[in-house]
Amino acid sequence: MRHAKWCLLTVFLLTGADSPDAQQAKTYKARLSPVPIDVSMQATVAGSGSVTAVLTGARLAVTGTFDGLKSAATIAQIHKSPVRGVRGPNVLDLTVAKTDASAGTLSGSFDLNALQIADLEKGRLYVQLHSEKAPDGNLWGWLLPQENRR
Amino acid sequence: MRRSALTWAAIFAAVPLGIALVAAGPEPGRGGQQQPAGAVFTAQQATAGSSVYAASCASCHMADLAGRNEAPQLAGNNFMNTWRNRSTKDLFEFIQSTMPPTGESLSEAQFLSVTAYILQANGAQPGATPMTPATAAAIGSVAAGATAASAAAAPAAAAGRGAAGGRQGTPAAGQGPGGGRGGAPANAGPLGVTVAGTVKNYTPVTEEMLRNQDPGDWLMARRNYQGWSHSPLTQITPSNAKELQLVWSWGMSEGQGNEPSPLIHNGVLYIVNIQNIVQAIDARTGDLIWENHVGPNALIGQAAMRNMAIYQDKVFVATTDARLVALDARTGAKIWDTMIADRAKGYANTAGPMVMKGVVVNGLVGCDRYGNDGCWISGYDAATGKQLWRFNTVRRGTEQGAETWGKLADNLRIGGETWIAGSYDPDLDITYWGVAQAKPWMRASRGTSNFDNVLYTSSTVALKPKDGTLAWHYQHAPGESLDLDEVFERVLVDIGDQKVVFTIGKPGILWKLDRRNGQFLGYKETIFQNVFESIDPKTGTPTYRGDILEQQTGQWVDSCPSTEGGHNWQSMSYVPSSGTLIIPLSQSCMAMSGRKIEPTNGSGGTGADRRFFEMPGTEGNVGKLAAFDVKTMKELWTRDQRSPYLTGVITTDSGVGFVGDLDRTFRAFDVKTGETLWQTRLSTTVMGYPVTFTAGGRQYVAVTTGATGGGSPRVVPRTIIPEVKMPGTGNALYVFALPERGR
Repeated sequence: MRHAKWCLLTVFLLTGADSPDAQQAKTYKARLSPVPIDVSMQATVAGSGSVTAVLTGARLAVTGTFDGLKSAATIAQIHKSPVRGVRGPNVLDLTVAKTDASAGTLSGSFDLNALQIADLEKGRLYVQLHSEKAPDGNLWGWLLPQENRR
Repeated sequence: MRRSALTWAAIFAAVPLGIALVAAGPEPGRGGQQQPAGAVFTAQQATAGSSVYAASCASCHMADLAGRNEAPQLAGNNFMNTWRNRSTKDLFEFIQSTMPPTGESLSEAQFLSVTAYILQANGAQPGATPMTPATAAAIGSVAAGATAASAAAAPAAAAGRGAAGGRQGTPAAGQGPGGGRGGAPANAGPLGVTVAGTVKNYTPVTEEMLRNQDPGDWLMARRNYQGWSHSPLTQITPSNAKELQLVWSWGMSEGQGNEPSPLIHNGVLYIVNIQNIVQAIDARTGDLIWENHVGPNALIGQAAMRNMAIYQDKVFVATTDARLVALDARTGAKIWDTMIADRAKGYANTAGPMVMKGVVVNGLVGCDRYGNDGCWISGYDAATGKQLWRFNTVRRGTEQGAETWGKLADNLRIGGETWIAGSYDPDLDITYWGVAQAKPWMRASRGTSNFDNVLYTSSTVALKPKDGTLAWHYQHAPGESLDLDEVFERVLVDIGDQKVVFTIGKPGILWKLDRRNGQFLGYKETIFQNVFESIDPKTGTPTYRGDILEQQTGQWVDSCPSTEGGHNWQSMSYVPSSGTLIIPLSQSCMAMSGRKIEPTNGSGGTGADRRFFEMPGTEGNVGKLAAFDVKTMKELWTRDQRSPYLTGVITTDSGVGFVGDLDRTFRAFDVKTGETLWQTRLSTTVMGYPVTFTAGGRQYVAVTTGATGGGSPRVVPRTIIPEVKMPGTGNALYVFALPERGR
């Protein structure tokens, strides 16, 4: 019985599942949906997507996909909002890769400062994607904490 | 091409400010190849447009283009402030892409003509060159913006003078139904009793019966005075609900929002259709007994009539042209007909009365035009219709609370509507009503300061039904500024020795007050909100976010929730056996921008543009059905889904709840868990207030569908979940029961 416990502990440590770095890894997700629109704007502002951001230490790795746009994506940025659900200035630039005229991926990797980490944890950071027909914003979504994934 | 439910009102209200001119027209003053200023359409087009307008637009925007509620003015400075810097092409394309929200769409020529008509109403002059889809002149260069009053002389207004004859009884001058009264559209068709019949073995409804109903009856909005939306019936249970089946259905009038709460008395179902058509139906068979076109027959606005009342031998119905009418419950014959307010000034009703000790109490909507009349709740003698009292919800002059409107002139103090019927505590002899927000929606538009609480808007008012005196008030959102109503149902619950009134408004905050004196007892945030930075735990006084306080006209303010709520007109249910409130909620956000509003009588309105977006953290689930413990106010369970719930919730003593949604689903659920027990899909959006009752010893459940209307709870989903589609027609009443063998 004692031998079995030691074996389990060894496996646990070898996999790194309980290492300090892994403990600090936190996952945040955003559902991308249209920015504020009225019905008449549906012709140019549409689509959906998802973004995953993993914070390891101060390093934030962001990946995401989107589709259903009415025009090709242009830029994507991370913005800081004063409170969740309220627009704010952009603080980080993401890289956009188009797979076709209405879809694509976005990514980025950043070293966050303490204030940015606090904003992330409090749900104040959001991703906004622009497109040719929606240059002021097409999709957006707030990065919200998920359960830690080891 | 058919468009789903959305009012002209909402569309025009959603016109974004500050959008760059897409197709700039010829610059004025250059002469040469440009048309003379104003000559962008012909007189023939404008004339044709007046007819199109009367048929397809006037019900919301009014025949005089003065607008109503979310339907903004289409003539005058408020229109020009929105459209002056945009082009005629923009206006045409906007109308063509979004209007009309219901019924048949229009041809290109009709869209052009109605655009021409609106331009003419704003002072643009016709010329020799017809307007085409490519015509693009700056609206500010061709139109000066006629006042709403001058527009009233336009042809469409004349179309409002319809026939008023043929109805039973004759109201006093100025009290006739609809047609010919200022802003009301034409009133064609029959009036009065159109199907004659008699309810057999009718039993007059006494005060005692209203206090202690027969278990099989449903005698008022939300069933009992306490507003529980709960029935003691037990035939339908969690174990047999899966056997529910359609017993009968009844097609209802089309073309407008349909969300009524039927009344049930002794096996007879009374229901109000749109166009003010009241019917008595055999609740067991679905056979029509009598019908009365109370009038006006014309469609007015997009809002529905939500409830009626019954007392003694009368059924009481409020009308869309702000009248209160008593019908003989046996025959449908009109007994009395009283004007609550002047329809010509935009007044209307979307909710009916409650009867308390022989007093018929009714609210009022359409209090959104600048002027001297104000807004009020009023009480009437049930026997005669004589007005007994009036409680002004917007304080003016030397009235108590008038100082809370600051320096704003009396004629500019508007809003304070009461569009949900109140509740009543017979022991305390107090009736509880929610009062909606001030208008225009945003304080930057209405000219009040952050220190002006604007009583009695966004409040609970507790009144003595005998004379309308104020027992107490509690203002939930002082100086509210984002169209986040606190007008909805008041639910009266006793918790031990506590006598509590619960209510929840669009911010989604469940408020708990002592109903004896209005003392604040507690609150619960039921959905995410970012409007209030904090709420004082001792007083309930909220502190608004800084940028909401600093708002300016023409600037977008983001907020969660949106005007959809939180909570809206779909009422909650109280389950007395478990002390649980089951509340239909919605999750969406918005950006709102206030307009500059011309401070002249007849102007006003809601005065803001809106854009909507999904609520962060909800995974796009707009609908939320949740249960809360009345003692702790903790959430017990929640059922989130993409489509919002569009009916009130009802529950029964057997532990079954019922609710319907935007996506045509009507379901029975277990009140302990929210789990679906049975569901079916109906013709269109399930919208209204379900009821359950017995007839011939068998328990039934009835619910209505509403293809259009519904206000923000329909406007917002159309914008942010457009993949949920439903037919543009299909207003009906559906009645379900267990198979006979299941009894």
